[in-house]
Amino acid sequence: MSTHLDEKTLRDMSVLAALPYEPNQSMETLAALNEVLELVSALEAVEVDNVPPLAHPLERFQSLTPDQVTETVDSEALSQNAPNFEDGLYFVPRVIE
Amino acid sequence: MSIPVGWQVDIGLEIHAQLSTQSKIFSGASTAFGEAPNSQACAIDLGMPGVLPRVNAAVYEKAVRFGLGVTGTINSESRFDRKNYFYPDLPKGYQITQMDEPIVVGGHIQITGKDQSEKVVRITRAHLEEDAGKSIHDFKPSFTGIDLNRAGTPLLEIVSEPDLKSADEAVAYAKAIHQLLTYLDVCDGNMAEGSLRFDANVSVRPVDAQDLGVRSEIKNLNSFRFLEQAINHEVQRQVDALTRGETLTQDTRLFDPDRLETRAMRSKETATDYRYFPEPDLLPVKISDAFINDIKDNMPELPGPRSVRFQSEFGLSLADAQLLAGDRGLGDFFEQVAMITGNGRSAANWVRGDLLGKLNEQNLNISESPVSPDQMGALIGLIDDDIISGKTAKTVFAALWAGETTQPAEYVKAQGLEQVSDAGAIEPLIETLLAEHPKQAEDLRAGKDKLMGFFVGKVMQATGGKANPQQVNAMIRQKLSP
Repeated sequence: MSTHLDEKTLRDMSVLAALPYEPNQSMETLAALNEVLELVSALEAVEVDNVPPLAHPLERFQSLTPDQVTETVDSEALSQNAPNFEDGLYFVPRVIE
Repeated sequence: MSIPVGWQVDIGLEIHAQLSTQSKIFSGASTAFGEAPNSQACAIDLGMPGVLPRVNAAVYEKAVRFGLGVTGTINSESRFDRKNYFYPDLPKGYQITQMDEPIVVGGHIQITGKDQSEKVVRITRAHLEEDAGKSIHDFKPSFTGIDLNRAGTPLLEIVSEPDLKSADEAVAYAKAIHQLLTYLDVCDGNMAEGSLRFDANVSVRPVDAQDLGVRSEIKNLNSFRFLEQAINHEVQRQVDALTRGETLTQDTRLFDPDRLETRAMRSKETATDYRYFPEPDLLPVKISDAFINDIKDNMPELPGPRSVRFQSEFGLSLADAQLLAGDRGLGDFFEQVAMITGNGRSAANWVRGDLLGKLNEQNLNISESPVSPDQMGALIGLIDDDIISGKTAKTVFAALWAGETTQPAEYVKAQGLEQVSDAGAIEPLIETLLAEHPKQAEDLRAGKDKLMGFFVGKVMQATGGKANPQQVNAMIRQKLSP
């Protein structure tokens, strides 16, 4: 796995993630992220072939809840962070398979 | 459609059955159908930050019931996973499903072909997952509207082995699963509302080939007819392509019922594409033996064994027994009537004929029948006791259906509908009829038995349907005998 991010990749990622990009902080951010990636690379050296994945660290189980309607939905409130909500529908650029 | 000569077909079905619960699989929002868009999608269904899903006990109860119905193995420990994909009708960016440790593993179901041949189809697994929302494309130009009411609705995905060898077998299997799901009250089976949807994995190979061919998955078929048409067209497409020397690639396709063709939607994703990983927000689910045994103890008799019992216990034909045993409510209704009357065949004839005919005509379910099993039993009792004729019984049934009476015996008395069994009253009628129709009387005496219906019909007409047809029949024969 490559452990090196360049500035262009950082800029592209900030666009994809919709996070603000500060050019004057880019070298600092880049160095911090590359440091994290180096740590991730170090993990790859560990032999895990015979280790089962650990999804949950505790030996506990999910409790089940009764089949009851307990939620009242305020769709206007829930739609506050949607860019385009009209007539009860969320609108996105046309997607047809 | 018959399978092209020289080829064999392998089909496996994935059936998505919506579980008939009040609330969603991971939240307390309602699952009611047909409500205003986005009025039933709560913060958990929308995947808002900071929310925590929970697991609805009823989905486990229903999944276990199905698993027992197909004699599958119930996993006492199961687990949820995240299946990652990006689509606007899936607001979280992943679907919570069961990849590695599903609730049901294995099982089988028997299907009956059009030629009454029987076959056992193996079930690979059945796992729980959440449904996505619905995309609406014709509301606003250049935009897709998203209604997330269906997001988080509980689904049981039932995966079969590729044991199905034709579209007919696939439809028979889909119908058998549909029957079992509705019989066990696991799913309402309402295909118009999308409660049951099929994905068909179809491949073809030369008859002498050992390995399965390259498969295409046809998504989202929502009726038995579309399932049959889609498979037949896909088989033909694959055979045509291979015959031309082309190579098939594994893909996902959509069926266009207007053009009767399947179209490639996307190249098939593999498990790696979905980046499955254990759902961190939900712990593994452990169900106790007591939970499973309680469901086992309350399992109803299943349609197959019930049909066999109806034949042996009540002397029903295979067709009648299958029809009555195939619907739990109808079977219960019939059995009550048969127990009251002690006359299974008559009970079957009335339930399958007059009652079912009327229910279908008015689009009613057996539970909505205005005539109760007690009333139908009392009505059949009046026929069996020779108090009313079969013809009069239809009038009484109509009165029961219309709510004009609730007591068949009282109604018969009040309306003076009792059968005329007094030979002294019927005899003169027969004598007059034979005298008025000497040619027909002579032909009947000579062995033209069809004419018996003519004379009996005339007597029934003259008595307003109140004569006993068997008695009239016997009396006519006696009169004509030398």
